[in-house]
Amino acid sequence: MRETLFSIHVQPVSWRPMLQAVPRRNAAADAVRRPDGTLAVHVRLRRPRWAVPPITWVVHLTGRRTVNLDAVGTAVWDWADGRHTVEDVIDEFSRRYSLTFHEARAAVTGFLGSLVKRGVLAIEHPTPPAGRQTEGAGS
Amino acid sequence: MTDVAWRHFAWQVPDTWEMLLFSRDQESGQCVFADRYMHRLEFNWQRAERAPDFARMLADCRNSLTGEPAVTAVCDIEVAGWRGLAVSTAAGGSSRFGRYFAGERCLVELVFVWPERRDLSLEADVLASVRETPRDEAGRRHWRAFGLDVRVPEELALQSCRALPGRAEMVFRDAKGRREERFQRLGLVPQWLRGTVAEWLNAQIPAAVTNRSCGSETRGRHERALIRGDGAGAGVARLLGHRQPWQAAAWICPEDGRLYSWITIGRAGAAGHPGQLSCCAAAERTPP
Repeated sequence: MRETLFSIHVQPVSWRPMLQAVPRRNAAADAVRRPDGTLAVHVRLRRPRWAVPPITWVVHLTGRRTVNLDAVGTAVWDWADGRHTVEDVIDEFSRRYSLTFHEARAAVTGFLGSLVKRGVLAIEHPTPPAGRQTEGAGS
Repeated sequence: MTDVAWRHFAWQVPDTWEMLLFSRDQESGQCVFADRYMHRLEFNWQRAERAPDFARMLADCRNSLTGEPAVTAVCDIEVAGWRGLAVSTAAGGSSRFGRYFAGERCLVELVFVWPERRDLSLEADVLASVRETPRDEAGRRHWRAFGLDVRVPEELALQSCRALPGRAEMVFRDAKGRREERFQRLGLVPQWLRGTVAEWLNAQIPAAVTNRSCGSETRGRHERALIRGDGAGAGVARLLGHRQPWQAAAWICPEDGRLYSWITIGRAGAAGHPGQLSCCAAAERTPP
């Protein structure tokens, strides 16, 4: 007889707090809409300390990073307006692309995570940990 | 309620619960279902040659739970032929049930997680829906999860299963690797499909598959692209230059807009029936 049957301890973990977080666009990012409706988001980068002459005479720094969004990414960007929660974005995404809630959740949270890493978005938690308002790379 | 069929069992869960975790192991494993906020149901199985001593199992479990600081109450329950325990905690509760299925020689345990009140009606409906799924008249077993509804020859075991956003795939293979059936269900079709379904299906089949013949058929409102061909054999058969047949079909279901595909490699077994993939009730009603 397996030990776990009738002796497992269910420790329900809720991801509701994650769903109630609010994605916000980086206020310092410039979004340029291309003719096909998709976006190119230009994120300003902090100048690194080593970027001083004579290094900058040789290494040219643009001072910004461009993130090209496809149609799906553009839709997520449009919904991440600071008013919709992650759950709202997931619901919109699942409706538009005929996905189940958890299919959309996996896609949207993965995509939001990659945009946060690239400094395009920040995530605001409704009940932030002490001394911390947002996570991510918002400028 | 949504039907689920896994590991020769079938049961129903609310439409808003989705399978998030699963095991392929026939001997022992689990499937876990969640609503949009948390895990709600565990379906655990363990092969056992005979029915266990439920009274002792329940007593052991009750004793261990009673000592837990978070547990406020534990009581014995019996619903629809299932025996179990209802556990209350300050943060909600759970109910767990066990039953032995002699046909499959398998002990099954269902664990419900109740973040608020225990829903007795829902609990009873789910428990009453659990049943063994015997072979159909063609010797196939029923599997249903992630939108895939397939019937697979019994000699094929679930080799892999992937569930990604907009992409579900199940692969079944026999023990010697001579026969394989692959089923896919793909979403977001307008975003990635360039060309026709037939062209997409042709690209899924390795270039080494020769003597291809392409065709199509219509079942109800389902336009199916079909391909047959010959590929290299597996193992010793490859060394001997033997070929094995490939058959493939793909279509877009007008009901849900997803692309379904089915590829079978190798000859059918003694029963001679290949697998079957159903996308919707309309397709099921259509005669093959």
